[in-house]
Amino acid sequence: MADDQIAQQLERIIRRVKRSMNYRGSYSTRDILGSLVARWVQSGEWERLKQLPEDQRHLGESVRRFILDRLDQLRRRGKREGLDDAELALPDEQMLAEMIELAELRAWIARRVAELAAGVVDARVRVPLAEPAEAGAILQLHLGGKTQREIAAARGVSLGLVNKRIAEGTSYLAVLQGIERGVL
Amino acid sequence: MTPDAVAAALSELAERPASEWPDTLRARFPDDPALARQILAWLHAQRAQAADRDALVLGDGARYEPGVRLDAGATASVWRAYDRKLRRNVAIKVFYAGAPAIEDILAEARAACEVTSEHVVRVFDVHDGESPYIVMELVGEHAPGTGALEPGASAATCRPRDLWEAVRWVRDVARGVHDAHLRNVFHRDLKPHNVLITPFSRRAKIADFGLAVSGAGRARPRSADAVEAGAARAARRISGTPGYMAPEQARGLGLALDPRDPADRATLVAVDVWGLGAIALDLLSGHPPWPGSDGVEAWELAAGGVRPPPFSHRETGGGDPDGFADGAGGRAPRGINRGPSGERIPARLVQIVDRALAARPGDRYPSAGALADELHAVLTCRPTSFDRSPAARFALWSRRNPQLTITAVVAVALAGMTLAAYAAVLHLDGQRAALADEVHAVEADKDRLAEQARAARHELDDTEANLRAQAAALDTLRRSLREEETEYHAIVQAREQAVRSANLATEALATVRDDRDVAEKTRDLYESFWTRARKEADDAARDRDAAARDRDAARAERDQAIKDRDAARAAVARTEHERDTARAERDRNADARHQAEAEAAKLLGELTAAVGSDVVHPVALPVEASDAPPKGAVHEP
Repeated sequence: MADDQIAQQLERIIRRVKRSMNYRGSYSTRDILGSLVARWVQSGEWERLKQLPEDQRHLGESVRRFILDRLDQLRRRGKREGLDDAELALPDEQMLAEMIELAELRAWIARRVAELAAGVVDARVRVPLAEPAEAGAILQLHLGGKTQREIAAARGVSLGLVNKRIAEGTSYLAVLQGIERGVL
Repeated sequence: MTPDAVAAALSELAERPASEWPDTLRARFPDDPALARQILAWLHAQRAQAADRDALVLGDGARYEPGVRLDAGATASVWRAYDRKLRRNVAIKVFYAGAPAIEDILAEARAACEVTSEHVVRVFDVHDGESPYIVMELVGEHAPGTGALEPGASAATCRPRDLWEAVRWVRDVARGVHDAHLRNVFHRDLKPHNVLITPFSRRAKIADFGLAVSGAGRARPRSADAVEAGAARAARRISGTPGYMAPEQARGLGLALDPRDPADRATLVAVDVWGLGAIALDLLSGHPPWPGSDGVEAWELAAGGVRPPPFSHRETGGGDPDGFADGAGGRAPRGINRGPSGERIPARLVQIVDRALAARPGDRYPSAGALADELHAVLTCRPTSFDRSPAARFALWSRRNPQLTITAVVAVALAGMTLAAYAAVLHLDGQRAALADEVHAVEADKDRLAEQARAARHELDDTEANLRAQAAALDTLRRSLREEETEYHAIVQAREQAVRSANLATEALATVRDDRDVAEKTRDLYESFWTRARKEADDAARDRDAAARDRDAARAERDQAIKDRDAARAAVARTEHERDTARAERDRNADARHQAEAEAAKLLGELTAAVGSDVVHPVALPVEASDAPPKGAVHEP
């Protein structure tokens, strides 16, 4: 594979990892639907569908049914004025596939960050990580929505060190994702 | 390859342009291309994370010198920077590559620019090039001691010190929001994170109009909501922060809300009023109205349509007076009773926040300004819309004007005392006149009484004589009385003696009765013993008679046995006699047989001799086992 092709793929991986790492304060319809898709992935349905041949998966149908069930549960709760006539657009197939990929990536990141926090570094990554446990702990707080200032205050370290650990941890995850995707 | 060599390569290459990385790595790690690729990826990742900073360095002729990163979110990071051209510190919001579209960034900047308010962060400039960013006012202050510029922090990080500071922040933010509404700009994402606090004077300012709707140009769907825009059926859009969303916002607002339309405007105002109530709740209690574990859970709570009951009822465990239950599986926002430093929250402040967080938009304050006025009234001890009673209004007036209140109280007290003194003087004058009249009356009475006294003295002398006579009689009576008393005492002593004797007799009688009871019990015991002994004696007599009868029967049996024995002995004697007789007869029979055998032998000899010895054989005669062989047992051949 040529350098520029590798660079392009790496850039895409890095962008996706970085995007998944960023804290979402404000939500849009797409974020809400993305979170519901993540719940669908966690429900195990995606693992079941992956066992089927591609032409039998009916991915969109399964995800839409899951989302509509959740919305229906909301409609049945308490007062529901304004929800009955709500028309939220459900994502199309391409958008769904992207949402599922992002949800899987987020779950993968959460697992890897938990490993880092426990001091476990994947042996395939040969670039040394200075303080893996500290980087993992800071990344966990970062993923939980804490700002860098809050993390620094919570752990009693400087803001610069927090930024450094987040950058190192994100780079580690990007390299590991590149290895798992066969780019590196 | 050692880790040190890798670390050295990383630090060295990080300072060089990315175009040099591949060749340098190939040259440095010729035998390990896999490691070189990993280092290359690591460097790209590091560079990508610094891209927003690079955008500042490279953009717009490097007008802005970036400082520290102040915050980072999903779509952008905020940096402190120095504007070299205008020589001032600013904050720059740098958007990540591929984050919001340029038109959305411009819309955000324009919405913020529309508003002129001391409680809204000002926007200075926007860069809509390849790396877009917005240049804003740096919410900061110079430190009193050092003079260094200190940046502020969001209200989510920099929490209020006490209840009143929280109320002051929300009031200021509400005024800023009201100013924005006057310019047809509606924030829609009000939360403590978007309220910036200056570090020393601790004033609040609103920031981040990223989701704002403005009458100037946001009558179309946002580019970020392409998923909705792409679907023609979509009529609603969700946007906001789930923990702080108004219920109708969580269910989705119309895609084309027009702030100039009265109905749409009322909807947008109600959403922002809810947001202000949510900020107040968070600052006062430390948690948002919808405390979900993640965004989607909070959104589900908000969209579930459960009306938040009044906090006071929520916290004290009371029921919901409006009849809004928690719903099937739903949860209502948590309540507050104590402020940030533990102080009790006034009921009217709870009522104000409650109204701002009403489930129905129509039940909320009609404007952010009305909410600001209410909060200002709380801060300045003026009546709010909930303080209708005169007593409450007077109490607030007193707290608002303490010196005037004290002066009024003192004046009233002095006037009261003066009136009381005057009344006392009048009362004393009346009493003096009454006393003079009484003196005259008493003088007249005195004369009359003197005459009466003289008459009475005469009567008294007579009476004394009578008394002396009566005293003598009385002495006589007393003597007789003493004698009677002596007799009485004697009688009493006799009676007491009798009583004591009677008591002793009673005690003796009781003792006798006890002894009698014991004796009766003993007698009963002996009677029972005697009855038992008599019964045993009867039983023994019966046993003795039975033994005598048995003995007689035994004697009779013995006599009978003796008789039987004697009879048996007689029978034995007879039998022995008969035996002896039989033996004698047997012996005779034996003799007769021997004799017969001898005669037979003799006859046989004679026969043999007569006939010859070969013809005649003697026959052996059978001999009986008994001693008495039958007679004539000799058989002839």
